[in-house]
Amino acid sequence: MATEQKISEQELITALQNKDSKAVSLLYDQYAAALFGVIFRIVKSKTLAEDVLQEVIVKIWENIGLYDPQKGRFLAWMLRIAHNKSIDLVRSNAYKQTELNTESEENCPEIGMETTNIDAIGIKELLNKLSPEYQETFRMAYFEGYTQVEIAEALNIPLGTVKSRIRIGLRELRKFAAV
Amino acid sequence: MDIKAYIKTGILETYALGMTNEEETLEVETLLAQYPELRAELESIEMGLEAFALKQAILPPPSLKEAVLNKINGQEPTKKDAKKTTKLNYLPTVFLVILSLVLAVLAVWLYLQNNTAKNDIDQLKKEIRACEATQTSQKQLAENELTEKNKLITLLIQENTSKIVLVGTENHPDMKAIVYWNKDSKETFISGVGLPKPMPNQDYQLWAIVDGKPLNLGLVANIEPSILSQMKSVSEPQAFAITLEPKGGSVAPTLENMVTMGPV
Repeated sequence: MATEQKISEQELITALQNKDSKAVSLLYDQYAAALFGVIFRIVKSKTLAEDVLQEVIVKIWENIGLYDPQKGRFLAWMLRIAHNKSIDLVRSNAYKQTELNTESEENCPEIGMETTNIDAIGIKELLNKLSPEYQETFRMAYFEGYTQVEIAEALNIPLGTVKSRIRIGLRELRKFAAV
Repeated sequence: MDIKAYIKTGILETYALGMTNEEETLEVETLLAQYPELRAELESIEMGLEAFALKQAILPPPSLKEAVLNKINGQEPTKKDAKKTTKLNYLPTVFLVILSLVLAVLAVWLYLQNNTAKNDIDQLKKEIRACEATQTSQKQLAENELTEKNKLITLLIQENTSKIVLVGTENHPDMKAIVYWNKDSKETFISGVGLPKPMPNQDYQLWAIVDGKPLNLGLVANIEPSILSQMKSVSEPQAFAITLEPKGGSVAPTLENMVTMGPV
């Protein structure tokens, strides 16, 4: 799977860098769901998530020239763009005024939307395997857009502890890749 | 650089989550370029994040794809179109620019040429006018001269014009001059045909003897053989004489310097 993806991924990237707009369609087909999932779980609103996804795809298209394989994987790069745009939104004043107070895990999946993978439970389970403090730290960092400094202050723990908790939490995620 | 220690700081996780600030990002990216171990570690972290995202993927509503593609296609034409448009737009502009430059240069050149031509014309006009003026005055001069000469000839061939040859004196035997004197008009003319060139500080002076006394008739300025010079008129000359005087002439003749003489 990895090899297959890599070949088509390289071709895809080249096509995008050549400003071939057909490549965007392929990009969308392959990755939009992954991006949308992250976005939605952060912004917690279907409409807003759609807007953000659009912005993210456009930003990928515009900045494809900046993507450098030496600096990381392609999907990870795109996920960072999606993640950052989503966090920017939830931290914005406009969003805070229309704050939706549902928890991300319970909100997934929303009515009328399908997951590609019915393994949503698997995620919950996995995260639940972590002790609560790891879960909490990870959730705050990943889904709620807290900076590490803010987490340290909120939980009244040293910054170093925040960093190591995030390290351990992310290490757990590698188990998914192994599957 | 202790890579293991660097990894232990958790900076790569922070980077993978997109949470590093500008400074940190630059630092990480610089080190990634240098250390394969860092790249390998980041790769594992990112694979975990990717798998996580894929596991919780949600399909966006189908209509969204079209909206996104439209937005992108509205923004930027494909490279082909871009190339074509750019090329098309480029060419006429370049052509026009070159054309304007050429025309500008041409205009300047023509203007300069025109100026030069104008100047030449003015110059020629001036020269023509000068020529004409010269011609006119020359013509006038010639006419004047002719009139004078005719008058002279008429006078000379009159019966009442006497020709008096002045012969050289004892000291200047070879010198000669001729005086024409008209009884009625009293005009006097001299031809210095036999007079040699005087010294630079000397002049020939013509005298008429009237009642035994010398009368100044002027300096003989011109001693060219074919020239007749008109001198002062005199009523009843008994004789004519030429003396050599200091330049500018004298009031009374220096008799020792008499060169020629002739009775009427």
